[in-house]
Amino acid sequence: MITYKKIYNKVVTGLFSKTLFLATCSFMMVSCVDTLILPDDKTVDEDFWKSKSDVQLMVNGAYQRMLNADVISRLIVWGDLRSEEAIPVASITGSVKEDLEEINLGNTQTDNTFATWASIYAVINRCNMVLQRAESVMSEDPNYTNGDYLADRAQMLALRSLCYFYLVRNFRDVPFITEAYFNSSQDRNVTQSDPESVLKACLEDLKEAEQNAISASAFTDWRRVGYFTRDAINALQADIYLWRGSVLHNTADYEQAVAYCDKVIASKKSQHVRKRGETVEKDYYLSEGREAFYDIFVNKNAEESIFELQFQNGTNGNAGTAQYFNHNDGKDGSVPFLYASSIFKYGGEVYTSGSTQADYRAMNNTYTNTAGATVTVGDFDGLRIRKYVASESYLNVPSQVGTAPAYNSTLDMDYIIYRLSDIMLMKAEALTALASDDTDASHLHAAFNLVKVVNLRSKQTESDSLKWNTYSDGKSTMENLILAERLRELAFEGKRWYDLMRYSYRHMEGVDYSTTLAQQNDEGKTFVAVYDEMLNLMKRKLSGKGNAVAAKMNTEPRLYMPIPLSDINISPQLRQNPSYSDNENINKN
Amino acid sequence: MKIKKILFTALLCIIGQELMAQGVRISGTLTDNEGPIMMANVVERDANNRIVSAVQTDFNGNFSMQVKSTKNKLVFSYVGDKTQILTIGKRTVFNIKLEPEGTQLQEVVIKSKRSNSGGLMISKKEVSVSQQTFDLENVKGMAFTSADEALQGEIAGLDIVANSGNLGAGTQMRLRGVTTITGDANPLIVVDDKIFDNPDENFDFANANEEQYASLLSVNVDDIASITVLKDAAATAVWGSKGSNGVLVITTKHGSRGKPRVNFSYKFTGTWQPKGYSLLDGDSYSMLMKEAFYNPTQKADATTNIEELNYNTAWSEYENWNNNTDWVDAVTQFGGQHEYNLNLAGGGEKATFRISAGYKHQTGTIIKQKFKQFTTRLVLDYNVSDRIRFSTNFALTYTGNDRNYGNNILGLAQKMAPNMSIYRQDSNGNDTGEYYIMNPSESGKYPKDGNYSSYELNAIRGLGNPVAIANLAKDREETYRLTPDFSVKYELLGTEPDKSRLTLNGRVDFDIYASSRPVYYPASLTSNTWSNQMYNYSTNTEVNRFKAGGRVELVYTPHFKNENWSATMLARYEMSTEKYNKQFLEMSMLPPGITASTIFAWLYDNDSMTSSNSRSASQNLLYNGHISYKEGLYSLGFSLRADGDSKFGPKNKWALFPGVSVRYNISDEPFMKKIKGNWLSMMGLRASWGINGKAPSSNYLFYNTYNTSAGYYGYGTNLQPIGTLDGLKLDDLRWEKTTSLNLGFNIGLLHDMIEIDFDYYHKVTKDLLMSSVAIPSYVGYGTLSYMNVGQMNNDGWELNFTAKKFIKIGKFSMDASFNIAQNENLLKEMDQSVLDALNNTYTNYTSGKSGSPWAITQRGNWPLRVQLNNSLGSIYGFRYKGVYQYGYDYLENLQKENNWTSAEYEAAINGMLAEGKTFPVVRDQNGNVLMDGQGHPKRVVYNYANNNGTGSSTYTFQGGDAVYEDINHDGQINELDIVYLGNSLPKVNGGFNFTFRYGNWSVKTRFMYRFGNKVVNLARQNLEMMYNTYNQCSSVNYRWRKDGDLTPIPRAMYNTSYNFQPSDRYVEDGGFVRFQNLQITYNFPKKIIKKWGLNQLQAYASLNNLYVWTKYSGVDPEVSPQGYGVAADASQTPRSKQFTLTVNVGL
Repeated sequence: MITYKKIYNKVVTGLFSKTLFLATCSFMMVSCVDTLILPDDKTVDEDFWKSKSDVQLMVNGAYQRMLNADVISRLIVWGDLRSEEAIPVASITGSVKEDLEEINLGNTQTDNTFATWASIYAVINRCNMVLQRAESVMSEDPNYTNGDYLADRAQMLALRSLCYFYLVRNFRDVPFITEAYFNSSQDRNVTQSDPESVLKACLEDLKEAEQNAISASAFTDWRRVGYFTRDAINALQADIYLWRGSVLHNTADYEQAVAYCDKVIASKKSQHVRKRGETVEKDYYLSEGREAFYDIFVNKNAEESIFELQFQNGTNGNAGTAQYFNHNDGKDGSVPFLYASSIFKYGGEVYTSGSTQADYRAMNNTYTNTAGATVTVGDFDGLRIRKYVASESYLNVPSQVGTAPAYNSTLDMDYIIYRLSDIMLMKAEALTALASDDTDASHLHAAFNLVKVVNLRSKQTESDSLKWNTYSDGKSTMENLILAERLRELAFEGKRWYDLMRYSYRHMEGVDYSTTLAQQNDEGKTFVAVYDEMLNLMKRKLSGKGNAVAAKMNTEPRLYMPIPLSDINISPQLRQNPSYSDNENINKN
Repeated sequence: MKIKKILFTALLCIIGQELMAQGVRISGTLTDNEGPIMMANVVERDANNRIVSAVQTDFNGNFSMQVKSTKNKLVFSYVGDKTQILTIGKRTVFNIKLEPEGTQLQEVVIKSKRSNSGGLMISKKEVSVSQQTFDLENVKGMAFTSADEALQGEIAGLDIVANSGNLGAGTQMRLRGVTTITGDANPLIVVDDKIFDNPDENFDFANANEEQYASLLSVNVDDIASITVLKDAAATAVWGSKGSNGVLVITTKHGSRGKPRVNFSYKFTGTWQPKGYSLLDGDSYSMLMKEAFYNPTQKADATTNIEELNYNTAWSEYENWNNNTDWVDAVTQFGGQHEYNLNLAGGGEKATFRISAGYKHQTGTIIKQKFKQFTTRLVLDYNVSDRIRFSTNFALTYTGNDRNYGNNILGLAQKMAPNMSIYRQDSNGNDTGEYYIMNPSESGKYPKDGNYSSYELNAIRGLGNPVAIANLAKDREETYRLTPDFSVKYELLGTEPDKSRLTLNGRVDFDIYASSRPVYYPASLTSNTWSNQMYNYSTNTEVNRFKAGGRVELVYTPHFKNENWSATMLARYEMSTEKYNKQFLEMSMLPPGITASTIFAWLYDNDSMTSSNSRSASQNLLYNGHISYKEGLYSLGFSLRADGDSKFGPKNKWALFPGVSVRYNISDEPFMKKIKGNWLSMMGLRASWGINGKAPSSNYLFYNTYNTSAGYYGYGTNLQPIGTLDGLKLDDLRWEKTTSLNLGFNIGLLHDMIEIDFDYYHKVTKDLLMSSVAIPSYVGYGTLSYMNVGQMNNDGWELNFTAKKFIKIGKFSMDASFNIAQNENLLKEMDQSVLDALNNTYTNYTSGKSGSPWAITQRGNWPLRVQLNNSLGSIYGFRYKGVYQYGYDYLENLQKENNWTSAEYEAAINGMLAEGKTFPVVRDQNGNVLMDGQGHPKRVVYNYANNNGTGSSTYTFQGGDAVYEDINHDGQINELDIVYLGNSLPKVNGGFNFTFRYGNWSVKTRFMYRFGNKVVNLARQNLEMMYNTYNQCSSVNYRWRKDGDLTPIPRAMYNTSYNFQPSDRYVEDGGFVRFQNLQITYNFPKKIIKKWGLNQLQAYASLNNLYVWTKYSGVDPEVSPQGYGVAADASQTPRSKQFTLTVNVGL
């Protein structure tokens, strides 16, 4: 064998000097390489969450996620289409139409595109990220104070609660996730929580948020209503308490709802800046009837608004309302996905009485396209939605009776989550529920007064408006009045289906809200029947098929959307809503 | 070149003389057989062979020079003569006679026996891994666009399938099966020891179509000397993370010592398309359409308004719709290819070189397809001394590919309405110069309402005029690729064979790629308004990639005192870094005439720009060794590679890839001597084991990346910027690792006249990488960009047989070779959630995109299913049982006529069923009809359960509809009736060749084959669907028209029916034998060409793609599956038939 020493000597002594240059050259070109490479156009986690502005970016990112058409279209379909407000347009084609039709006829399949919650959870995850990481920024950036942090935290807790409130009302049993997902190694297996515990957690979060929330008066621009302010947080608490009160038939919850409504009402009142010549103090500063539509929906961020999602054409166009409501006559014949149902016909079930323009909302909320016809006789198939679409108040352009109204092609429309008249009607609903019996006039009359204020501002004259005498005969009359007024006032604002659900729950006995449907099914429980009167309201839009649909919607689980099939497929612990699980066990060849 | 060499030498002489002022003067004369030699070299060299001084002989062969040291050697050389080396010593006069050269060839032969195995030179009989070398000399004179085409059918276990017959479309190569689900399954290509990968890293392989840049196009086939295919993991382990699909090692030609040789070749190739489907002419088409529109509604006025079908002379466009246009003929043509190659090679002792240039110009078999390629390569090796050697290899490739817009002109032509004219016709029916473009269409509008096309023919309108598209739209891809490398070799120890050697190699290499692809679709191709997205639509894609690498290695070849032992080993450090940029511009609604997407037209805001860039770096360390005993009686190879890649996070950044192989040449054992006799010349047993890996193709997966310019929130003033997290950080991603075991033997018979080698392998791929894996949506993200999802196995064997000159009678001799390979792919494990997610998807082969979820209500789309313990590429669908001969009403009418009771009725139906008649009624397991409560037979429906609504839209089968086997006898055809129909992967594939020689003539034949695979004949599915207004195959003339028709073709139903659902009607045997090449070569006799002053002259004539023996009914059964999809023949441009004429001239 050879001796290594010899080689060594030879290499080192004899040849090393000659090869030194060569070797160093080679190594020089080679050694300066690092296998740790960071992207040029992105910031990595290690460099993020370092300053106040990083947190601000992510907080605003959470709000901005709500603007996505995925979210808005679901809020519309869940809130409006499932109720008697809207119907799918017949002339559109494609899978979206089929999905809408399924929902409209109560045949929702588990793979329905609206039976998905991905977009809502995307918002939740963004909130969770801030909640999890913002605290550490305080030690990195002295500009980021504890106050800043708490205010950010309050907004994210509130936004997350709003998302869960939507989920609970639409899916009932949902995974309650409060940890942000950052890594692929995190456990993605979760179980569903019962709705009661989710709402309880949300209320706790909101209670905390309320303490540190930003005040609406801190801003004068869009941020006054574009962020989750204390008013918005209180509005959400009122909404959740009202919901829980309705489901659990719980007086304490109703009382809380009234209390939070009062907080909001008082706060809105205190924020009012008197104009010159304004002498009379009012309890509710609502826009006046003629201007209301323009103020609230066109000019946006009205005084009476509490929380609305801020859209701006170019940066964030509202593609959601555009696709679902906007009948864009002028341009290449595009058709919206949804029309208003026949009950909105003037002189129909929603706007019943008075002269042509007795209720400003009648003409502002919907519109008929039939050429030459007056708006009074809208044909069923063509009752178009104006709210969130039209760029002018109907009454501002009286010459346009029967012709196409000006449409907002800029997609600037905000989507309103809470506004004052909603809160007032919530309070009225809670007061009615608190009425001990049909003769409890103190509660009922207080409720009526609230409804009346909302109603009156949209009427030309006092004489057109509601009379206490007509509605003084008891709780159910008042309940129905409030339902009707909410429909008139809040049509197409993604509220109606939940109004109906509250109405139904208030008349359902034996609802087990602290157990998931799947567990109840395992235990062999019979599901509670849905309140007939509610179904009667809902089926008004379906001329011939109403009874069949009502029959399909007969029990509590049917009030909810199926758990997304795509998630059931890949998440072993998820349980389907038992009323949809018929086809789950089919084996394929 | 000779002049260059002289100048170079002269320069050295001057330098030499400047330096060597002192010393001994010597002189002498050089002669050879033909007398004194002028300009012969006399060189003084030192012990390391470094040139000290040099002179050249004068006119009379005399020289005189001053030498530095008498210890040095004098080297006398002249081109064409043997070099003589003498030590100077005390001698001062050298009268030397040089002998003519004749033995150098011998050296070359020895060299070629050694093969490069991961940087080590190992003799062929010691190669212990599984590899196969293909010498490009075998296919000289044949025309190939890229080298992979030459390899088709030549390498056992390498399955090569052409993507399509479009120019520059490239091939799909699968070595020993597929070891990946969504990643690139093509083998790694290595050119001169340098990785030659696909520069477009954002390429999505799972949904790939032919648009991919075929990397091998950058290497001129003419520059390639040989291709070695490394098959087992022990061989590919030296390529570590990149080699898991196998490696193709391409060696380019180098210069060799000798007189400079000029070689020029010219090839002409003529190409034409095989005959495709016979399509309907205009008259049969309009008849079919009328029937298709009538059948669903049965209304007499179903087509009254569709003037395009009515031959109404009163209509202004009548002349444009009364034709019998053969659209396929209009878009196909005879294509030609001219290829010129020129190379100059030669060199002396100091330097060898090869310079080549090639130019190729192709026109396609589809009109307006054009492909141009220019390549040049310079290979220079310079020996400074015996110890130092510099080399450079410098190549430039330009390709210009004029594609058809949309790459599917033939597909459009097949679908076009044949009664429409290509050019607008005047009132006399004569063509004008203008292409005919259909008028706009609108729902409910007809030609009678104005300038409209019937809405029903919207689909035809959507196709556009294929001839016009080919002529007016453009899609031109230009690429430049520059791949220089510089290397230096330094011998640190001995240079002679009997000394231990230690060599230091250093290399820097670059790979610079740029491509640009402007696409333009002019407004004149549609009648859309300017507000349409396709109005003057133009895009531009620019890709730039820069890759640089460096390598240092030490090769140590010790010399053992016991000469039975030999060994060689190397240690290598290598790094590479890469930068990638891509920019995509899109613009439409441009003013007419503006074709550039870079014009910033303020008119309308339909423009977009996307760009991406990324960087990555990797490093690796390799140790590779080889030991053999008794000249390869026993050989042992081992290697270990460590790979570090910036694509992985800190936890899994480095991975180790070992490989071990052994070989036992049993024929060299003394005891074999007797047994061996004359017939057995070699018998070696091989075994190897190794691990390979694969990294994902994206960068930055291991970071949480935040996009801090994702947009804004707010309205009006004080807009707030937002930030978003791009996706989950893949902190638990691991390398995909393939462990493979290989067992094989080599046998040589009759002095290696016949060689056989056989390999068996077992490959296990763990931690399969899959891209875009669905995760529960409550996580906040829909997919993970990559995930390790499961395990896949590949088992198979390969046999290779070659016989060289096994028949030799006088001037006649014959060679034969044969190879066969079998591979079985099995998916062993997979995350259930991934399986579920995959199985809910489908592929729409028309768009090439996959969608989800697959629903039974979709028409024509094939469901994708991936099942454990099945191989990828399995095809699922219904079983097709022909066409319902009679309708339901036929039965009901019979009952009414005959007044049958329920029982009689049932018996009558069963009787007719037994006769073989078919009705759309439900049958039980025994084939008897099922009656409902009212005494009527139950009707077969399509997918009742998933029907949306009240049941009114459930489709009931009628007479003339397709019969699908109701597997579970539930009376409805739905997902539960879908069964396994076969697999897309071949059971066996390979090739066989024969060569016949007679004197200066030789004939070569090459065949390739694949058997046992199924192909979804999507082309036929589309051509027999009778569901839309596209033109159909003439076989639909046999369609069902009335009760009683017995035919396999269902009735025409526009926009209704489920007659073309995925079923075995379209699943065909894809086995074939292709007669790929028949080549005749004539070597002009030396005597003749000497007269013409030439060195070499050959003429070749070959026919390519001569004939295909197959049962497949389509044009070309050569299709392979993409990703986990099925092999579908989507009627892409078929491989053309060709002839090639080549002349090769050597000076």
